[in-house]
Amino acid sequence: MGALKGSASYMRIRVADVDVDIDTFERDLEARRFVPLTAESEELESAGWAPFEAPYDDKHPITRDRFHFTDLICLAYREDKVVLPTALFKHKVQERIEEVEQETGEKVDKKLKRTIELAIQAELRQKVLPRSKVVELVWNTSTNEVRVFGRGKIVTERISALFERTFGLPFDVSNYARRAFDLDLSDRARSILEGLMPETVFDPPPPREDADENPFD
Amino acid sequence: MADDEEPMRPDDQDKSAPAPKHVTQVADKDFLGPEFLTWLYFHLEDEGWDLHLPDAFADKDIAPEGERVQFAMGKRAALHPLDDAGAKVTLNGPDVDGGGELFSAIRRGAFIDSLSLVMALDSRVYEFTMSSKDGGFSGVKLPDLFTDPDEDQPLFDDDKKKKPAAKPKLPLDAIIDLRMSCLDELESVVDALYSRFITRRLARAWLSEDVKHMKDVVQTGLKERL
Repeated sequence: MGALKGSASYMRIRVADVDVDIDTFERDLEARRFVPLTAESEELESAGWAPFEAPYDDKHPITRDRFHFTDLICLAYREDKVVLPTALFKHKVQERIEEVEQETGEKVDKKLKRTIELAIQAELRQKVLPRSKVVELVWNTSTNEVRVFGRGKIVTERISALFERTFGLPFDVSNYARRAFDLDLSDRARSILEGLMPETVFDPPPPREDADENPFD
Repeated sequence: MADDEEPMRPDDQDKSAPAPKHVTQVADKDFLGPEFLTWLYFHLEDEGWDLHLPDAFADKDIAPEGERVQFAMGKRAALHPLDDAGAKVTLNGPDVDGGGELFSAIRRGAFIDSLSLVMALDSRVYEFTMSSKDGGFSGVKLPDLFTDPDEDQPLFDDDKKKKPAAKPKLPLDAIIDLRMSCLDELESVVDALYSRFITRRLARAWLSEDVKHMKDVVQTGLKERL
């Protein structure tokens, strides 16, 4: 979404003031770094931190020279997800159930069905590549603001949770409401802000009285 | 409680801990985003899309000449009523505010939900869309810092823009520094405008001056287009 190139789309996040301890950051990032899914892995999803400039480099550690630039901490959040084609999965399971039932002459019970599903999932898993999402973050430790180059739930839920777990800092979206309270206001202005209510420029038209009426009545 | 209303069953009652005061306080003020973008449109219109914004430039060495910022309307605006009850209006194209649809939507009680702008600080031109909901930016095009500015070239005319110079290959830290400095500049302008809005919004004259002015502009604008 454009931290390093192209047009940028991002959210502004407010974090608390922190003493930057690069040794601790390096260790905590490595502890929560992205672990790639393999064809053999049972998990279908994986998420974690990745190197900012090379988010698909799974071999080398995220060392300080790769994330620390003067006042900036630059990271990539990566999540991979294997999505098995549902219709194909169901078809293969049904096919295998019928084969087993023909061989044994008995109806497949719930437990055996689950075993068959896991076996088919493992077979398909070998053939399906994970879908990858990468979101870049640039945290300015002198202004306590993080730019997250992504939008929506991936930022407000998943990255937010990982950031809080990694750095122990709450992650507040710096929307306009939040920014109003961050302004340097007098006590009087702050108390007016606290009691402020929305004001319309024009009132919306009242709903039409016949809107819910059935025209065929 | 009304007589015909049944008391809540014990398992229906919300026993969760209340949200901290600062969280509820901020959530209650979500209307400030749409109000700001709506005010901003009228403010830019009033000022002829050319603003003196000294508050935006803490470092006077890199401030544009006369601390002036020029704006132009971008190619997109979306409007929505505050209560989410009415229909969303999305306007796209080169003359977003020219046909009267923007004023018509405001006349029907809508506020601006997202607004695309082009902004020039001397020859540094930014394009971006502001979102009222999360305060974020989308589609931010940063200025071309590698092509020499042409004095005769119009700032906001895409067709007549000079062909960009080839970008030099820079080290990673220089790219980060350059791009983040540009975003800092963009945000400092938007933050200065927001601070200006909040000062107006908290003043006693908000309704009698600002809201009244917006109403007058909409009504006059709609009459002219009839």
